[in-house]
Amino acid sequence: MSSPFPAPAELLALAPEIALGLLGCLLLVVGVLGRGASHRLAAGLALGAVGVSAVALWAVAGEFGGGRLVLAASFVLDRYALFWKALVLVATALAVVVSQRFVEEGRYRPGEYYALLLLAGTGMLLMASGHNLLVLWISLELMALASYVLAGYFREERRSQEAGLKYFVLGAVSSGILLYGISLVYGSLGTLRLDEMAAAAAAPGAADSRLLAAGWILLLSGLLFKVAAAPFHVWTPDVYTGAPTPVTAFLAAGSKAISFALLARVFVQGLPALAAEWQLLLAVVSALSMVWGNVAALTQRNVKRMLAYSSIAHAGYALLGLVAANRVGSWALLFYLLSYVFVTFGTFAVVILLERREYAGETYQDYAGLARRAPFLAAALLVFLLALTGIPPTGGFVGKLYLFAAAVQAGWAWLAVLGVLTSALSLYYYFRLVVWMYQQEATETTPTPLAAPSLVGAIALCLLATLALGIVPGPFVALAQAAALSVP
Amino acid sequence: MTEPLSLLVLLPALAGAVGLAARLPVRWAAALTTAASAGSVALAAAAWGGADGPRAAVWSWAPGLGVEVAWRANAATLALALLVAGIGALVLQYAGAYFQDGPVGRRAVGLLALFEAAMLGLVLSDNLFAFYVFWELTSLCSYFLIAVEGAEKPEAHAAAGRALLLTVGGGLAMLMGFVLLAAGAGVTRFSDLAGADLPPGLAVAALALCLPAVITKSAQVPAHFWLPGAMAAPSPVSAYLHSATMVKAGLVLLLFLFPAFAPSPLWALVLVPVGAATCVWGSYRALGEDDVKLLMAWSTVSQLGLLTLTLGLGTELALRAATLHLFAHALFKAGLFLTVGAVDHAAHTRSLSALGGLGRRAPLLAGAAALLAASMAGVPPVVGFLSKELILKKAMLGEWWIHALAIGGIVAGSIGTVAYSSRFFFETFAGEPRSGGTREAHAPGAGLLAAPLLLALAVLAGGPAAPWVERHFLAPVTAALAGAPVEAVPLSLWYGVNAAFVLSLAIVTFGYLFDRWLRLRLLPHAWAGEEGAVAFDRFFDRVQRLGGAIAAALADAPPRIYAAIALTVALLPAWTRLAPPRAADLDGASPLAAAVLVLLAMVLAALLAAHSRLTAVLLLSAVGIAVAALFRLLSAPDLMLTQLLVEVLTTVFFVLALRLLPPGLPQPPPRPESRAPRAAVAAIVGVGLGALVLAVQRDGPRPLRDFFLRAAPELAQGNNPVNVVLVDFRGLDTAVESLVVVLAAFGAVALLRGTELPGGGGPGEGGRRGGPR
Repeated sequence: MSSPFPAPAELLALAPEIALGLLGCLLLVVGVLGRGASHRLAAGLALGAVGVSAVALWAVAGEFGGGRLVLAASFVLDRYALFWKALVLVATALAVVVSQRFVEEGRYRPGEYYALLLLAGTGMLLMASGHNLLVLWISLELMALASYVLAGYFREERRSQEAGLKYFVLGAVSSGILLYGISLVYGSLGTLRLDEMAAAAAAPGAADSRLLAAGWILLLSGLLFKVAAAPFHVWTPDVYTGAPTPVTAFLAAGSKAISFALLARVFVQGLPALAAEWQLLLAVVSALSMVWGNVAALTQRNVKRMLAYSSIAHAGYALLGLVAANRVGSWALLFYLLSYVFVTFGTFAVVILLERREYAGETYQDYAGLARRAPFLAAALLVFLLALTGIPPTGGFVGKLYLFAAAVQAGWAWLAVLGVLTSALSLYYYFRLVVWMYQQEATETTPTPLAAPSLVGAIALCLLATLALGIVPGPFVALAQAAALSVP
Repeated sequence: MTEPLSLLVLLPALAGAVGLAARLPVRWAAALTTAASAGSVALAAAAWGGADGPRAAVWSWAPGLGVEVAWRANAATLALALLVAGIGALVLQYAGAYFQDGPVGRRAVGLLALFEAAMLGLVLSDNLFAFYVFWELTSLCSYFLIAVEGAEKPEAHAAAGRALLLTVGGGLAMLMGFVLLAAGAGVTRFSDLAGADLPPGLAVAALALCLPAVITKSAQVPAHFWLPGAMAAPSPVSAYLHSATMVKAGLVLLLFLFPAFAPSPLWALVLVPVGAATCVWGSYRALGEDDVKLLMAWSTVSQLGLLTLTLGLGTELALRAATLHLFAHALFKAGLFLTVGAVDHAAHTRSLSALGGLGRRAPLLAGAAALLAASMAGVPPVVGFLSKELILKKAMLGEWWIHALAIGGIVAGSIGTVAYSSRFFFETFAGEPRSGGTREAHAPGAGLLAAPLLLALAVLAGGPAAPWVERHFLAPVTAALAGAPVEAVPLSLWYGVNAAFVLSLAIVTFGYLFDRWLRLRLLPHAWAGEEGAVAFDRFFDRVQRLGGAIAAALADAPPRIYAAIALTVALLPAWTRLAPPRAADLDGASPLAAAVLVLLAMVLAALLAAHSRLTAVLLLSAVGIAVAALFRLLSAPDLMLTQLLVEVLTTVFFVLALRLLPPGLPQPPPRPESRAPRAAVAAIVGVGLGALVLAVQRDGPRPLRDFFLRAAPELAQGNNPVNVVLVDFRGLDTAVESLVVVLAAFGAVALLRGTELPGGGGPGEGGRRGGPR
């Protein structure tokens, strides 16, 4: 029996996580000790931490990047993990940048806020490479616990408190379901390692086990909760609306994307023997999410709430990639989420620039005449909305195209048709915002967008990425393909 | 850029972008974009007669799916490009004179040029997906162009939104069709389509998905209503997008699909009835319209129906007739819209009841209008006559019912067309002015006259030049579309007296007479409602209300409801694994255990009915004790002990906590919630978990159970596997876990000491601002 303690060299594989986590803790200390520490300094330190982690990631990629299993096979650094880790770092950096204004205005202690962001990011990094159900669960919890606090961070606002509480209670329920599922899967397969799970489930008779069935269904339910797919989505509108908008962006983009990465790894790598069964269930969930999210988004008057429902719909689209268990599906999912992260951050960054205290500046009316007052913001938001709808020349279009094509190839044509129909429906509520921006005049009460160079820079970056993904998708597709193919 | 066709598409796009970005005066922007369009015309003309066929991809867009930009140059696509760029040049020149200097005009001119580029890309694209992309780009341009006048016209927003939703929705269906073709048959180019061996089921499905795109984009019944609504746009926009080019995109798609799909039974079955209905309804509505521009819009609907109907006949001769008429219609209808714009400019009204007598004030405009209207009506010798006669001849060759439907549709629609053409011309230009504005009307300037005049001359020349048109245009274009030269009697103004000619003359005569004598008697109150738009809005309203209800039903609900939903759904699939009880499940059962179970049920019932907190707590602990008794009966005394300890402790804690709560019973809610849903959730969760336990009991191989049962005595010298797992196998976990609990307790104590309870009286809210509470 090998030693339970890992060889120190293997711990190096965790360098990005260790760096981000430790620097996050350090930031917490700095925040407490340096009372008068400026917000800029804290944000700079947080960005620096992300940078250090990125350098560490780059350094270990060569050493461990070939998919070597380390730390008692509980951790893997294949290209799939590298892809997601890079995306997580980008999302964390973007979250730091878009949070600046919120933290400064709220006079929060910057150290604490950014430390929570970094800890959530650490959890996400771990989620990308977990190769063991328990490791995956613990990293998910690390991310989730930090997110609960962040969602309720707007302490003076009742809606934010409500969001934090709801997110916590429901998140705890889902974690419980997830853990119960893991324990049943463990009980029936006798292992927590994904590769051994796949082998055990492929053994004759194993697939018929009731215990295994109950286990994976509960496991799936818990994960669907995290990606906010219907009917496990009910928390989403309240939490997305109530949480501080930078946190909402982080949840909607980072948390959702990485949860998908986890979902895909557990089921594609760990339970391919049961693919026919979980795909059927996912198909139902995907259809429900697309219809429910889009239909409910139609009537929203609040932009954040509309985006919350739309994110439910997008979970449905992304699930198409898993339902179609072919190769196209697996990397289409990666490409789609890659574009979704940028689009979501960009959209919410515009929302942040317009919103005011007491949740003012969040309705459609508040976007009236934006095209005249802030042409760049309006044009950027237009591109993001086009991408969300799936209209060229944006990354959203290419991603949806690949997803639908994958679904058709795998014989799920009806699901793809449903996706197309609901996309057409979504055009209506996205374009209502465009109408307000471009063809209505501002009134005296319309908020003027703030001048915040860092936020505008983040928006420009997201805009560039969205267009690049739509106009020259080739290299990004190659990246996504290489990542998806590295998972056996 | 080595490919001249890329330059052809890019020229107007660049000019449009410059026009939008640089704040040029409208005149300059129009001159720039006109020049760019002229450049595109020249490039298309230069490519004419060159190497035919598909060109290599200029840009691989989305690898793996065959999504790339690749052009196709043949007589048909180049002729279409010439049409788009040529009319584009005329319209842009006209727009320079039409718009006043300002943001609206600048935006309109820039967007028109962008639209032109998208439309050129659409007709020249060989790749299906690139075609789709350009298709949606034209829809987007149309959206912004309809609503270009911004805040001044609120109704334009609604119209633009409806048009966008319909056309983009149709386009998405087409995309699905293309994905089917690509994934199912490996076809990603139009040029591969004709030779491809499509499975019949796939062909029908792909066609069925493309037809909604045709119907929405080309404004066919029942999606026709967006086109009259789009008339909120300025006249140059209507002339270019909503008569000459964009609305033809659906027909262009039909032309491109023709070789592969025309033999499909679905083709005629859908297109002929839809086209006939559109043709007749459009004519009828045009007859009752007072606004000249709306009259033209309905006339466009009718003519688009005519074209769809003709193509729907599905023969090569029909293809020939439809092609000729498509081009003819683009010429005369663009000219007519530009004329309407000039009339509007001159007389400041578009209402027929206020116009009249413009012929004397603007003779050149009247002359152009006469030629264009005659062409629309199909009066010899202008080009409209040629195409309409061809269509008539064609329709006489189909199957009997299609034949009857087609002839009926064409004759009825054509009589209407003659009648409204005559009505438009005579009521606008003949007679006496019927309003002050018209009386003071002035002749439009050269900028507004040039384009309609040129188009009128082209239309006039087209008739006598029939042999030339046949040789240099119609024959090569139809050959390119059909894939092989089409055998047909050459085009000519005079074929001798035959049925088609007689019918043609009869239609013209009767149509004219109908307008002059019968119209007001037969149709005193023409239908003028907005049936389609109203129905569409109502439908949309319903969907919205449904969405609102769904969203509102769960908005701001307490977490317990959300949790109930999640739990129920998560456990529902377990029901599919429900195992029917077997006798073996009852092993170890005894009358005593049954008695405990009955007792348990009674306690639970009492618990549900309890109204005081203390009673509830005590009953809850009674439940726990009953379970402990069950453990004892199932020979697990250690579990019973644990359970009893936990029960006692919880009860003590509960009672302690109760002391801190305000005395008295909780207020009953004003409207008691129904208990049925909760009971259902409880039943699903309870039975689901029960089933799960049963399933676990019976399950097949269980490696872990076997391992621990074997390893407990061997490795740890303990006979109770549960205890062994806790203290031996997972000993370290247990120790660390205890440590965590202790640490958490310390943390909780520290937090509680720093905070005063809110009930303790006020000062709790004071203290440091922003600090933790």
